[in-house]
Amino acid sequence: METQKKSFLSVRDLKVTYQSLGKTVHAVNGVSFDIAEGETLGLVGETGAGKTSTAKAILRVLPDVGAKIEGGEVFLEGEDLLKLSEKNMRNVRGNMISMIFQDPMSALNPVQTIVEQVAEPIRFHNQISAAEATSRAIKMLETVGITADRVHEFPHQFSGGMRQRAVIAIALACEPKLLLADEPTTALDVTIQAQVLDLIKELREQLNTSMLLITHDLGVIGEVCDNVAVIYAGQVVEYGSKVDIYDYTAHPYTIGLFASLPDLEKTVDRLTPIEGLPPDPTNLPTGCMFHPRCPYATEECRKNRMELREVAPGHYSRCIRNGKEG
Amino acid sequence: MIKYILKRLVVLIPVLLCVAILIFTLMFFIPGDVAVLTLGSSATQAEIDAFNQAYGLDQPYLTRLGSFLYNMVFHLDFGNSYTYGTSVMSDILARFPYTVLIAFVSTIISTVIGIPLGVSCAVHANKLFDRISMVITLLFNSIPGFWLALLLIQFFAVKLQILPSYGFETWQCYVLPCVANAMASVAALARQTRASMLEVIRSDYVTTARAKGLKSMRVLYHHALPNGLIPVVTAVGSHFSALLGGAIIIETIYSIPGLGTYMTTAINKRDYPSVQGSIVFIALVQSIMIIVIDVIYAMVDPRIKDQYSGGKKKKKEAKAG
Repeated sequence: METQKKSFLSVRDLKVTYQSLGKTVHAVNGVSFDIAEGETLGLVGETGAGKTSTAKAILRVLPDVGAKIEGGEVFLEGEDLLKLSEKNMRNVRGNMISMIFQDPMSALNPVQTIVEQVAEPIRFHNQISAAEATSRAIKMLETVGITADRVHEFPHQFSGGMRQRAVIAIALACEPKLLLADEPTTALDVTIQAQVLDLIKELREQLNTSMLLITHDLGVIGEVCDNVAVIYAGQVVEYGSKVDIYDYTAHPYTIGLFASLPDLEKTVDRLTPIEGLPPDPTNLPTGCMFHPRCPYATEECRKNRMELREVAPGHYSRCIRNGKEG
Repeated sequence: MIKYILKRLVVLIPVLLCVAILIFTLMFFIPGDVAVLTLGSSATQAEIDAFNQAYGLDQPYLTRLGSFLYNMVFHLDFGNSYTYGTSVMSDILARFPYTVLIAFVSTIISTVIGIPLGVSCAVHANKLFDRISMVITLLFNSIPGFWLALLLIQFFAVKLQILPSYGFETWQCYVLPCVANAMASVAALARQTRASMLEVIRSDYVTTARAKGLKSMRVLYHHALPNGLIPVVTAVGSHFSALLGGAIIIETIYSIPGLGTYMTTAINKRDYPSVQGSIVFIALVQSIMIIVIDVIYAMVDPRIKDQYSGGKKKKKEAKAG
């Protein structure tokens, strides 16, 4: 899709399923996107749209039991991560690609000190002594705003914002080339959200790290991202630059998302939600995944799966109303 | 931490006094004439009166309670056994080591087998190994202890004749009682460890550890296990502490002179001092064990430790923040 810049990460047709109570949950149904070096891609979608599963599949840290990557390719600098041996994949995790998790309350090991947890990947990936890893970890923690006198404390002694800073320190400890940030600010207070977001932005620029930012907050996307992929029912339904998505919105789902945002200039009694509920991932609709909720749905939408179509150069939409076939 | 332990030890004193008063009162009201049970049915009324007078059994309730508590608190003396005439305290101390030995060895067996079994079941959850282990542990968990003890005697002592069926002189005598005692708790521990580990393996911080690029063995032993074992510590501790009260059935079957057999004999003979003494002694041992478990708990879980040390950490935090 992105041809001008060298594609750093490209995900092709990624499919993830979960087995749950004898049913197959189709969480990710052919997601494709590219991230260029130093670029930030925002992945937007509702809860359950498959955002976190996509990120975990890239890093291959889906749960051992029940989850399965059914197909697709994840190229990092031309190498397919899904084909790497577990041993080689370990060198990628935490070193080349690392992940910031959604809930800082549960993402840290409760019985280890903060500095131990940050030092661990540094020590493992650089083959250095524990003492040296610790001193590097302390430096990293100072970078994210945790002072040296608190690094030997346990996670339960930290506030939510501090914990998320620690999680960020773990993720950036080995200066990865790609950061998967899974709703890094969702669990935090609004004031802390801004701080953490600024911190991520700043560090990312310093290290020239590419980033996949997962969020359902369109405001965050506007602030941080270069490109945006809108994901619905485990598929990318619209993909393009920030300007494409915000100013030339093409897909009815994205239009609905923007329409549901509250407008501060108008006083309204009710917000405008998208009618209906996201599809049941154990029983996906036929045709276009969005047709049961789409105000423009036609007979053809109910029958045939829709392909991504190019609306304008670099701007894609998975809708019969937009662009041309192929 | 030390302050916390001292505080807990101080609380023990009223608890033990309550236990002593309660057991004394219960024994006072329990039917059955001590003198008749001790001297036999052929004893004359004069002999019975003499016996009652000698042991102060003709005194009113409060007087007897008072002297019992006085001797217990100030002399650590529970009086002399009616049956044997020996000091109850020294009887208990002579028998306690047998009980401790069996409790200790059984706990070691159940821990060494139960925890690794539970961990491997959790790692291979729902695979064949896990399913078979779970059925077997369910079986052992459901088998009554005395029946297993008898089966073991039948097989190892009667059929194979490689282990003695009773006694306490050689180490071989302890094999069957310890195994019989341990089997049920091996099963219980394995199941508890499995459940706890399964929960921990699914937790976010284990995903964080995997995302760091660590080897799966390191993720398991360094991140999952220390967390998964926290509830298991309590289970091991309470199992051990229950056994310290004397495994009555096992001790009876294998004729081991531990606290359990001592107490059953004493109850049957209405040997008040022995019953009261052993109950108070067991209460003391159990209470100390609970404190020990709580201290171990604090050592494995820093969150609990902070609760114990109370305001100190909070003040420090307030200063820093």
